[in-house]
Amino acid sequence: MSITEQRPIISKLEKQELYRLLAEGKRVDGRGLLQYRNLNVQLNYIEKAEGSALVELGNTKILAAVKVGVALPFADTPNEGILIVNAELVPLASPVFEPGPPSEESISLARYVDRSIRESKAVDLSSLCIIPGRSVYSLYVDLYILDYDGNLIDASVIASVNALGTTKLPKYSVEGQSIKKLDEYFKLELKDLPVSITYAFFGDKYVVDPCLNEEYASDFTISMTVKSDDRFCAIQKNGGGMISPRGFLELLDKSIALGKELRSIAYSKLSGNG
Amino acid sequence: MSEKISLFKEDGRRLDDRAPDELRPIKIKVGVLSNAQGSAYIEQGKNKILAAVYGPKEALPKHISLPDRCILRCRYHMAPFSTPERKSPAPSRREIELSMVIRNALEPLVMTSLFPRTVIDIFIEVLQADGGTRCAGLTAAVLALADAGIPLKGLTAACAVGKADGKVIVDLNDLEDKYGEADMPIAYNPTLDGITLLQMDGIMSKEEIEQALSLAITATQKIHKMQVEALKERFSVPRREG
Amino acid sequence: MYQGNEQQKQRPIVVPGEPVGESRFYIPGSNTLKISDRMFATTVGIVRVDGKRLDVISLKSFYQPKIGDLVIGIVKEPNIGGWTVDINSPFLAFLPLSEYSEKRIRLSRDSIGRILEIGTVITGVIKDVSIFSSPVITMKGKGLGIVSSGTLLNITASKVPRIIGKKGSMLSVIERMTGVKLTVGQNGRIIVHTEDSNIVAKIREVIEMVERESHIYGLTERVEALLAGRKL
Repeated sequence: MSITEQRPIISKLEKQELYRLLAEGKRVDGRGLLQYRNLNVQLNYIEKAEGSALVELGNTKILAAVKVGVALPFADTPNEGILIVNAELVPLASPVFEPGPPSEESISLARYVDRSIRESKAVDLSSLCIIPGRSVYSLYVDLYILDYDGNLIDASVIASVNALGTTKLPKYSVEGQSIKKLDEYFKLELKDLPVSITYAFFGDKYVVDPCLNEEYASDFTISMTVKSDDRFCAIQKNGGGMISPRGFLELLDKSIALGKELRSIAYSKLSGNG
Repeated sequence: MSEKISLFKEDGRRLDDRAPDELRPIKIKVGVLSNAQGSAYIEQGKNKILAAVYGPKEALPKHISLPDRCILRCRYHMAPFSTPERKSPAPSRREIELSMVIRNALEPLVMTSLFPRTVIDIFIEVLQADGGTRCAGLTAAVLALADAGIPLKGLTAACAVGKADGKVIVDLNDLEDKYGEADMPIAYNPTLDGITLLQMDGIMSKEEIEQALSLAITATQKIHKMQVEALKERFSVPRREG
Repeated sequence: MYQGNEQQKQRPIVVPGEPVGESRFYIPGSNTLKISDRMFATTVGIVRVDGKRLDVISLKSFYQPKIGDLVIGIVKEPNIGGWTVDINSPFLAFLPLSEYSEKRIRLSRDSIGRILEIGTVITGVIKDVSIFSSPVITMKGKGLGIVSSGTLLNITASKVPRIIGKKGSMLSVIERMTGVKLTVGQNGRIIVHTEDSNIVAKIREVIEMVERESHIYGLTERVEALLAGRKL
């Protein structure tokens, strides 16, 4: 059962300050309404994983790692590799993360990141087939939220795409129906570089890349993932509240522009990563 | 999408003979269960969905309650026999996410501040699935809430729009959902001119999203009319003989 | 506008989100929502205009306790210092020991659980309502107390005023024509002070009619006809 979430209480003075600043086009941390926090990407952070990246977006810190295996393909896609995204809201990251089975927040985060990657076709799953109907590569993307200061979605998409961009897959030789792992690797080629843009809404005002306090004080958020060709591949409204159709359409152009900007920063290290 | 299948016939109509902007046949009935405070049943194409509401009632255990408003608990669930392959009755990750987005869509509708410290339970049970179940389920859940006598800021209707074979279409069936290029479920409240549920999955350009949204507003307005009729039908008195 | 139009046989039903009037003509009453200068219904109901005030009377609702309401409760659980009582509302009510009776109770002899057993039906009055705690009821007062005989029936809480009628008119029709006394709780519970199954069955029919047809004019006449066994 999905239950109305219990948000920490934000004091009235903090809320008033936030709204006062919004009216002047400012934010508590000094950013502009459509300005991202500092983004720092570190590739190949986990050597034991076939691909990995540590992403810091302000104080939000997320580690993404890709483990590669060989598996039986799904019956309806015998020629395609398997991609699975999982998100762990690690208890050490926040007092609101609790150990136990995955929360709806972690499930919906993982599913959104999965959609962003899958629908953008960033990974060409048909290139991950070894023997049709029998052996395909499986890519497990595990997202580890290490420090939580809001906007997990955008940071998670950036971390996952970077981790996939560094992924090296072992080569296999095929003899009849059996395969043998070789001591050679090839790089996973990314066909697209999707970025997600998340907005937090406060009445008729909104900001991009909300920090945690802004998320708690907001009415709801909307995330949109933009592909390299400026088309959209995932959208989701999270939280209660409502947006007018006109308000929603206004976000499309903004997301395309912000997406271009963010993409060039977020994936700048990938081109140099041979 | 391993094989390419065509979702349009040569005459430009869809495989189930609909125009791109045409809804499937919809049947709605309110007040269908005896135990629930409120209930509704919807058929949309081959979808068959029941929704029930219990409450408001005291929120127990107490720590889940909120001091200034009512909380909502929502479960979207698919019956094991609702899909071609048997679905495990345990809640899947998809069902957990949909329970959440449906709850998020209902929160701004219910006048929760009238009933502090209470809880309203909303159950959506998909008996047969044919694409667009979250939307049809939400359309029914809103009616179950109204049937329960819970004060609402209007009625919200939901419908998916999307894209198949390069064309923007409304109310995707299972086939179009699976093999189409994009699916964008939307819930819209015409009283408040607000979108309360918004998701998109697949690839659409800005122009296609604009076009799809305008189709969604028209479609949800049509479904909203059916909601109003179904509610009035439920509470109107059959003509007495004599 | 949904002014009482006597020509219409059935009052129009409004549903949540349906415009019911403009706020420059009316003061928004119960079950209405004002957005800028327009007013909308928030529940399924019928519009009632009383002077400038416009209410939507719900066709189905649950009981929200108000101080002074007569309610019929069912004892749910003996507790420290009193009893938890189900009053057919989102909230359980609390009946403190001090509100049980005018007489002093000696707890050493009468344990709380023995004074009022689980399932006992009581009549009480809402004494206090707060958003922080359960509504408090009292059994002190004339005619209040344990109900040990009779038959318990239910009606949607919003229809209670209809079963009572203007200045008790409907209730007196029912009591006169059946020869049986009724206690009507504001919380949608009714005690029929008889165990005669024929009379109870008749009153059940009346309640069903009121629940179903309260928004159609001439309800009292139809109830009279029903009780007299006449067809209308």
